[in-house]
Amino acid sequence: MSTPIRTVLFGLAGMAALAAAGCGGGDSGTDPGAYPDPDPLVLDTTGLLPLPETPDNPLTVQGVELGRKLFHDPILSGDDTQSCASCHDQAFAFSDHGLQFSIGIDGSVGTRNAPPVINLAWARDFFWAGRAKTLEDQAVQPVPNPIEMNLPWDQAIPKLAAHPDYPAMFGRAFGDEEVTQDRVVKAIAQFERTIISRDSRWDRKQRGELMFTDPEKRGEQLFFSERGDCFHCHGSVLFTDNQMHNNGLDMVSADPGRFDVTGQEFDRGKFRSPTLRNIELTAPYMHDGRFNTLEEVIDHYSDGVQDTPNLDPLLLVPRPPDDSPFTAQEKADLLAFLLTLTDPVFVANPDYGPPGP
Amino acid sequence: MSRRILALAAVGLPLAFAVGCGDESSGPTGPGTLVINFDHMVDGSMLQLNTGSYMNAAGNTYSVGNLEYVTSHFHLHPEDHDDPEFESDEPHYRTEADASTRSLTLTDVPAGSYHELSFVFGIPGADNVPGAYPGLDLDGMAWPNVPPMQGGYHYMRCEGTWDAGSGGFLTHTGPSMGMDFSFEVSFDTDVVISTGETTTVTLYMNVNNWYANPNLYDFMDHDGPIMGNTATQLLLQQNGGDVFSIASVTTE
Repeated sequence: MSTPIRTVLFGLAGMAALAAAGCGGGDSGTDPGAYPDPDPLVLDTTGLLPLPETPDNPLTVQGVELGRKLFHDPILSGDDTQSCASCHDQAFAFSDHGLQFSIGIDGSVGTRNAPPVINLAWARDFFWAGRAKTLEDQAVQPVPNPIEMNLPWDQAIPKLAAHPDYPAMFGRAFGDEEVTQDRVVKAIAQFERTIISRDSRWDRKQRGELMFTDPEKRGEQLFFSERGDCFHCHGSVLFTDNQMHNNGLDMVSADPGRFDVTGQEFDRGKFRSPTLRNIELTAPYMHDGRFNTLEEVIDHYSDGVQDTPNLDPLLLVPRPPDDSPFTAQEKADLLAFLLTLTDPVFVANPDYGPPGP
Repeated sequence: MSRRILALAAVGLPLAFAVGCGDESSGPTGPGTLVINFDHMVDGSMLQLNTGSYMNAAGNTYSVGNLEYVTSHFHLHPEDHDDPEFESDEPHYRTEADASTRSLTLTDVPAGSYHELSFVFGIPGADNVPGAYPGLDLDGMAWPNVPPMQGGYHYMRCEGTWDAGSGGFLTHTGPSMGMDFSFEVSFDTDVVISTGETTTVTLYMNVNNWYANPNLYDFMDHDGPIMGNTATQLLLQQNGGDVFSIASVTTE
């Protein structure tokens, strides 16, 4: 080989080596723009429904890791005392410790019962009246809310950017270390989409792993019958239809509900059907937490529904066969069935708890 | 030399024609697109959810709070029976509450002249099984999957109030007691699919026709749930025959 050709070849090899060192591969902690692509995360949703796609915010291992830390971090509150998890506690299926209304960092009392975070990957509206259309939109609101975490976003972002760990976590999740509100809520939304409940007693029965007791069977039968008719609002494997309904709580709604979002009078008093999964753990019940027990809820639907304006037609039609209230046996059976929706695996899943040190 | 030229010409000229000239009468080939719009009327007036007030043949004054349904098994039947039909079996979910569900778009429809459009209202028996269409589960169309019901999906949920709001109606049709109450809707109409173009068929559903013909449907007689009532399901299936009509067929 002639010398000029060898020189060219070595030169080309050297250039190739430099190119390989400078592009992708390896964690260059000192170079904020040198993070590799995050790793896609695939969830096991067996027994539920296929996960809806979120092309604007695909699930990644690093995104979920960041979101989990943010969810549990009181750094997102004005006085560093309150995180998302403060009002959405895993032990209560991510609802608020049995409180009717949540308490903000300044002692302010909320106006609606904190909804649980369960299977929200499949939800189509968020908050009781659906004022947010995506999980990302929902996550924007509590942080600056004066009666909740009371930290304006233009103060939250510098706090995160100055943190010793967050910039690198943002880098791993999003490719560079820039901290933005958009990235914060995307990460939190990614984490929340992983919070999946599918191992309740009912799920195991569906998989043939156990058999229901007789009360549970009767309760399930009643739940999915036209007499109980729970399934129309709380059906599918999600145990919610994710729709808005007026369920006859008050002749005059103190809370306008969906009307606040649409301005349509026929939406007054309508609220989103919550999931009944883990309902045993998420007392009190209804948008305003007015019912402390499931027995009270069952009593309401038995013979307590008010003939309110905008009452959902599902609750207007007579209950077969004779429009009679539930019997004591039916109430007990229904309760027994509702308790089968508690998922001990979900409540104890370490992947949903605070990240380790 | 001259013989070589002639030989080359003898081979080359036919080749040139074969390569350069196809059938001069054929234009572009390839599929087109069919769009089917589903609009909702009540005796000539566009349906207004919640705010409209209507009267059916039985004299019930009513308003509709929810109208959603599933259609499936769309077929285009060609004029020439030797030509293949076009089929698309996937269910289409339509809800009046969401305008984005108004249109079903079918791509890759072979260009040609079709003389009949048909579809199934609902999902036919063998296909209507629990979990088959997760999107419909998310849409709240699941049919109970405990005996005596056998799961699957609603065909339709038409819900509202009547008698000045004192009563409610739930016109829920579906595979009651495991029986198949779906039915075919068919139109003898010319539908021309042209290559690279979109043909749009707009259908009207007249809500009042669910309650009129051949069976008079009075909310007073059906004021309770009907999902488990096979007689009522049959009545509505029979009434479904003239619920749909073609409003227009256009190509662009």
